[in-house]
Amino acid sequence: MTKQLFGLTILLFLAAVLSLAIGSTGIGVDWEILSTIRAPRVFTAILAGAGTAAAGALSQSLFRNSLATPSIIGTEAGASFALALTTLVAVTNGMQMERSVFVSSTGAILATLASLSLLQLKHGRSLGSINPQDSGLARLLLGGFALNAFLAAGTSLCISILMERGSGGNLHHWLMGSFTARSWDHAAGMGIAYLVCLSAAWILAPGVDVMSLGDDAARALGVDVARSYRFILILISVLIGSAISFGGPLPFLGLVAPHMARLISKQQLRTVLIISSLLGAILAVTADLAARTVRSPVDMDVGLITTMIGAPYFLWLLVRRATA
Amino acid sequence: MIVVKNLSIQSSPSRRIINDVNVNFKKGALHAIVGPNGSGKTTLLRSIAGLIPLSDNSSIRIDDKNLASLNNFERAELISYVESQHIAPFAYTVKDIVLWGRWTKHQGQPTDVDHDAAVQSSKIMGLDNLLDRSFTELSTGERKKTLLAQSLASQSKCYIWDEPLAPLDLKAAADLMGLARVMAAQGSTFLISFHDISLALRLADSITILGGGHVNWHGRTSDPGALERIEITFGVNAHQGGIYFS
Repeated sequence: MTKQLFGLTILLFLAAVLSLAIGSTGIGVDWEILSTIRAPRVFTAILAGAGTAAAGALSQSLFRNSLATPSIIGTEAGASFALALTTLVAVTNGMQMERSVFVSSTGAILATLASLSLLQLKHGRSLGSINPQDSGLARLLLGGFALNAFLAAGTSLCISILMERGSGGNLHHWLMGSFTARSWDHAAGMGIAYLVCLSAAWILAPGVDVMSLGDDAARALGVDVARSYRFILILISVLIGSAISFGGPLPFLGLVAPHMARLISKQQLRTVLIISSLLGAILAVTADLAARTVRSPVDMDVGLITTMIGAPYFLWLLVRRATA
Repeated sequence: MIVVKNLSIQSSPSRRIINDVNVNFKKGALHAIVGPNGSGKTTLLRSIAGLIPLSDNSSIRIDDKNLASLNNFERAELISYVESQHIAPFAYTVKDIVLWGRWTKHQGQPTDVDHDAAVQSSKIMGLDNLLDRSFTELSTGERKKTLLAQSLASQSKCYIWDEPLAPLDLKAAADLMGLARVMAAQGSTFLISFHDISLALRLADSITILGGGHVNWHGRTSDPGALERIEITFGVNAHQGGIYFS
């Protein structure tokens, strides 16, 4: 792991330096611009990328599938909808709306809880499932799919109403993923959320490793499976809620980074979390750099870049699995 | 001693998988569970392993401890359970997986004692050359050996194995059962489901014959009544189609 850690840290450092040095108008270092515009933007991108990737690593481990992402249970859609709805309410009442990590995380958690209620985890019922093959995960994923579609429709409705009132563009831009005009407050908020969630995930990770053998096998070995599900799903929600609140969604990054991490490192979740975070940070900073420079001086949405990289990668994975 | 009282398990309001089972399993012995497909073998074993919530009037006691009152840790300390099927989504090493057998002792921070126990049980199962191999690269039989090594590494008092012999080769199966017999003589209790009735009759101390969720017969394998009840439960005679029970 040391080699990968060292290599990825160097890569992240280089990507960050490049991103700090290159602006939408070309290469140049102006201290004022660097300290107030580019540096907070780059640090927010690093931390949002790391948080999204860590949430992806947790999702893949929890759902025992290397193609799983935090979006499959409606987490991302819940955070986006919560932001869209509160913005609509604020604009309707003539208030200024600061996109709050509290709102997006609450939205993400509520969406996740809605999915969880399908699993009936709060009663521990699914854990005593009579059929060992029915862990309830299939129900959770199908429910998440429907919830995703419902929340995405709700978000689109909020944006259309805001557009009619001439104020939906900013929200739309945000929900496509963007690090434009981020402050040190955004970077600090994302940093705190990431560190708190990573520390909690670090404690739970060995138990989640054991859960890869299945819920029954893990329970028989003494792992508190219900507690792991609850806490890990809350951590995923807070990580995604924070990343969306401070940076916007980064589609496919939660899939690509942890999947690549499992290809190049050991399988233990603790290792995967660190390697995924580094890969997520590198991808987010590079995507942000591309977003600023590809159509310079126009800023593209970072989400478009991560989708352009992530969607072909996902298709490649599907083809590789089908032909393996 | 494992004491199962009034055990009934329903998969739906109209279907009972286990129906009012009352049975005792003596400590320090090898007990075979047999029965036709769908007779409730796996459900009975999962219930005794504490993986299915019991109804109010059902109870299972292991060494005088009420299973329902044990927490996850206490239960896992007492019982080691190996499922008949397994999943393997990620490429953990054989050693990682065997070490998980001692989860209650190390909780993710294995000590030298845990490593030694894992290596020892892997050796017993003939996996000493595969410790660093990925579990996903192993054959079905090697995976089963890994999970059995995990179970042995736990050093529990009670081992519940669901169809452990099915994917094993002849030598591995013979070695495993030889080991189980030695451990049973030293005080461990084994509950093992078998498809091969001959093996069950030859290797186990007692046999429990399930049919339609009921215990059709329970007693010593040497009891002549066992053979007769097997014939009735399975609907074959002891020499039918070249299948010989003895």
